[in-house]
Amino acid sequence: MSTQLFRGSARPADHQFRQRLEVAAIYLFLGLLGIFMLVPFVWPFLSAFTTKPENVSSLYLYWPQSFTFEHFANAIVGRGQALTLLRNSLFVSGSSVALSLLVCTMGGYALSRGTFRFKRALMFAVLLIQIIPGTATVLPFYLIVRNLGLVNTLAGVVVGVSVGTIPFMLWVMKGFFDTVPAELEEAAWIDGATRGQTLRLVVFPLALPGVGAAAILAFNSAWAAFFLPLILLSDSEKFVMPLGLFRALIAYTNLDYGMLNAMSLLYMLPSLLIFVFARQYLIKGTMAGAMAGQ
Amino acid sequence: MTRADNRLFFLLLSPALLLIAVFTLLPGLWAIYVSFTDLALAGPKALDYTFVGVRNYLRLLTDERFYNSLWLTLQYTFFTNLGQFVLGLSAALILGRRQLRGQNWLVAIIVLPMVIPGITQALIWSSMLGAKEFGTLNRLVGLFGMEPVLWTRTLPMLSIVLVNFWNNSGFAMILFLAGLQSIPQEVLEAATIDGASPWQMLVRVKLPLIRYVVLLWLLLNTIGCLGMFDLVFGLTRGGPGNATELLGIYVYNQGFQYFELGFGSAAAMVMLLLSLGLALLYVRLMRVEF
Repeated sequence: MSTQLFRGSARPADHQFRQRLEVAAIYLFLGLLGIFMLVPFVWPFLSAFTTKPENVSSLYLYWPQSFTFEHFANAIVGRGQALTLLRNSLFVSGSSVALSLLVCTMGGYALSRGTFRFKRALMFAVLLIQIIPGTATVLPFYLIVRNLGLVNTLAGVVVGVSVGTIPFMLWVMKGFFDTVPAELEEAAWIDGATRGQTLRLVVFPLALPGVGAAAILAFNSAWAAFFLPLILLSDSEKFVMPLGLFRALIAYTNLDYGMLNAMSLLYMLPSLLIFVFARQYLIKGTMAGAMAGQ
Repeated sequence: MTRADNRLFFLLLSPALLLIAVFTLLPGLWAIYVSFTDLALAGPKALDYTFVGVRNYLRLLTDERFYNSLWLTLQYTFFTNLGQFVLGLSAALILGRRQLRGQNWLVAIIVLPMVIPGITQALIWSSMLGAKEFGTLNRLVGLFGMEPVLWTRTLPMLSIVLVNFWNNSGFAMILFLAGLQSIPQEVLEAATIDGASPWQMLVRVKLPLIRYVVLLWLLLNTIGCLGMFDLVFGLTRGGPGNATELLGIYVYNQGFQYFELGFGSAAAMVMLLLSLGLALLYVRLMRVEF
């Protein structure tokens, strides 16, 4: 950094100059980094909400002619079929989150309270499975799903997407249950509550914020799932949004980028909402995923 | 713990473990078997396949396209790790040390691309990397007097690496930021009193203290590059030619474009072993951290 140039000068004026230069350099770096991160988002908003001049391609930035909802209209009631795609996406994400929440709430509780042998080994095996990329086992996965008759069904996608999030969720849920003191449960037992009542009335309410955070994370990754729908789905009325966008994108001829971006913005909306309102959960969850729930 | 308790715990765990077993472990084991057969996705060899020994692996050893995809994956891994390290660490050092105006905003902006689904990222960047002089990136380099570049055509690897810097530097930053914030203030003060220059402070004090975090990030990112699919496939579909056919795309192509499940599984085995090795290293490190 430029501060090195001024080392050894002890006069206060120099020192002040040096500091100002450093601050300027820092702001320049951060400014450029911020621009690099944000500039790509200009085009989707511009092209989805405005009309373009004649004879320019909608693939590129243009000077907007007027504000319009026409692209959204095309996407929703026109040939974009955004509603079908969004409904399928919502079904896949909702179901797979529900499934993995259910099994991981149960499993996470068992991993948190249990003292059985092999628990440590089991947890590390789960961690290992979480890290291995799905691409590595996808070919036989396809065969298994086909043998179960689930190819070209949304149920097949739900199961696949759900299984993808289960190892991570198991770790996260175990971590949440670890924060609920076992003494609270024991107190409830002494008061005559059954195990089921204790879980329902004492443990789950306390672990609920954690469950919510885990659900948000799982939803965001299920919402983005592209690879499994790509290999499993072939009927366009079953497509989820990312697959629909991809198919439109590679169709090449006469691509209406305004409509495509309108669809893409509708698709990004949940992720953006999560980003605005639950960013801390996402960041913490990503950290927990990387550091294995620590 | 009583025996009844243990039975309950086992019961509670079984649905999760069953799902993992059927849809993750079983495919992994099955892939080993399939990689020694000539099983196909469709056609006569889909039903009537035979055991072919190590033939798939021998073919892999002589397949230039496979070596090409390995080499591309290596390049992709190296350059994305390097760039993310520099960008992520610089941002973490600056944002972790000072209270700047708009600090939270900056962290949020750098994390934002991570949240966006892969296919939308690809769509967004198809405009950024647009080949004509109107492509956003070409307009930017045009400000410096450069000629328009056919990004994904002539510089395909640089293009997908650049997009990776954009969408994943935030991951490096938040990990490094957490690592840096866990360094005790006294250590940094002691180094300052001893007259450490900013560079010495970074190389001799900060980096050694966050080396675990850096290593974990490196392993996770590398495994991520081995399995990379969505973003690169959405942007280039492995092309032009095979210029961006990373390992994940190679496996997909063998299985679902050429229908060769046996041969594709042999390639997937290589990917599985590489990532398993790195993942074991990661899990061992986590144990150290306990």
